[in-house]
Amino acid sequence: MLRSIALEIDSALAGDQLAVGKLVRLLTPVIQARIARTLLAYRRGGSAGRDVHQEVADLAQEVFLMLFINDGKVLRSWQPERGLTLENFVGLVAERQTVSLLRSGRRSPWKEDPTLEADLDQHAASQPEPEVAAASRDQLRRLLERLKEELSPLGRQLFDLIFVQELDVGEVERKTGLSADAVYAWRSRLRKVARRLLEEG
Amino acid sequence: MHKQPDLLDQLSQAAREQTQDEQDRLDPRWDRLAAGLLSAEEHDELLGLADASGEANEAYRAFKPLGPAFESRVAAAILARQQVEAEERLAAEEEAVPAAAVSPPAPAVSPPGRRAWYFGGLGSVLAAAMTVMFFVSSLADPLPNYAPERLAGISEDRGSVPALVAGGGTPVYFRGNEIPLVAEARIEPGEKPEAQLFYVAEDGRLSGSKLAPRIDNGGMRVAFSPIVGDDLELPPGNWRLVVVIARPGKWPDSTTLLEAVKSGGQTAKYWQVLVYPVKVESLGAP
Repeated sequence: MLRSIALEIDSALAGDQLAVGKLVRLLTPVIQARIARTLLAYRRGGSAGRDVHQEVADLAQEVFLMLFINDGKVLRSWQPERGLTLENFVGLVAERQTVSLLRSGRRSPWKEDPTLEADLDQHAASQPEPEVAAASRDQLRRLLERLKEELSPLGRQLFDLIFVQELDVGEVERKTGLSADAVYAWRSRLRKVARRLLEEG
Repeated sequence: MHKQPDLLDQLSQAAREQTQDEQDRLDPRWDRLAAGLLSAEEHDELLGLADASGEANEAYRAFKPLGPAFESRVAAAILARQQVEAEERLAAEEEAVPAAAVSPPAPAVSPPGRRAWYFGGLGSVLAAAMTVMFFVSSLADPLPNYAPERLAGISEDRGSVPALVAGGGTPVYFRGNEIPLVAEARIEPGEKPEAQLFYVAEDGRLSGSKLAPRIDNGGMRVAFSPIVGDDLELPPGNWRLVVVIARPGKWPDSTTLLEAVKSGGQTAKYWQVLVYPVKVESLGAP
């Protein structure tokens, strides 16, 4: 199944009309649902405006183009061995782009995930984390939005597994295929990103 | 001493609460609505909720399947973008070979505001009549996607202030009516785009209008407001109004434009062709 999806993606990125059509049909529901959830949560804050169905359609088209532009750079960054299905991966991309477009009116530039050598301090996890004063609910909500916008789908997945689901390192390794060092490094990096975003306000 | 939870603990807790809150408001039936997988009973339940509350009504419209027309439009936009990228790659490769080996560029559509066009034929006639402007600017950012606002026609009530009616079918206009053609992008284009209004008769004849666009909101909103019989001399019949939005110097060539109009609109990397079918009726019509 995974192989057939991977082949379908390759064909679509090579310009095969049938494959593009199949992928669009496969991914439209998840992209629409993630955008709708994000948009409705955003509108609850009093930001209602254009017709919501049209707004969802426009954002969905933006997300599709984001997946396919630059020779499908974003779509090619899906790594099934990391444990995310294509639908979940694309859902996270949709959520990230929607948050970015709603918050700033701009596409969020696509960032590569850092490699251990390039960006991550493998020993940082053993250092004590500084405490911060309890943030307000509103601050946390805004910070969570910024975090969703900042992180790649892999970063979001690791935030969810490590911090939200509170899985131990072994379980995260099994679910993502990452090494223990990489999981520790991601834990450290996610803390750094959160602190930076808090400081940036 | 009480230890403060660290930032990630607080964020994780906020994420859990947010997920729970979302699940309470929008259970998985809504996702199945988008996927077209609801049973008839579930669909009726959601319709009942939509009837009972404004919030659920908005959710119903947000999750209502986008449908095959949307999927076709998106697939066409993706293929067009891929075509542009392939052409750019080819052009980059050609730049690497001696200039003598490179074919001259195809003529491009003139930028707006230079002259009005009236063309009785297709590609070659249009190309010959247009000012050729071809700017090499491979570093320009892609044009953001402009979404056309749905056109509302004029009601059959021919009072002095005609009422707008919601979509469905081809919108109908009469002499003296203004046709509000508005397209909006969600992201700023950076440099303001250019735009030009065309109109196509039932026989496929393409004409250009002198009407200047209103481009505001940092280039995110492009609008034309032609008045039938004044800005556009449109006799009764079916017409297609065509708005072309493009990066300066990045206009489609005439053949591409005509193909885009024939296929009902097209989105490319640096330009977009939006087609609005309208019907013009005579005030004396039954």
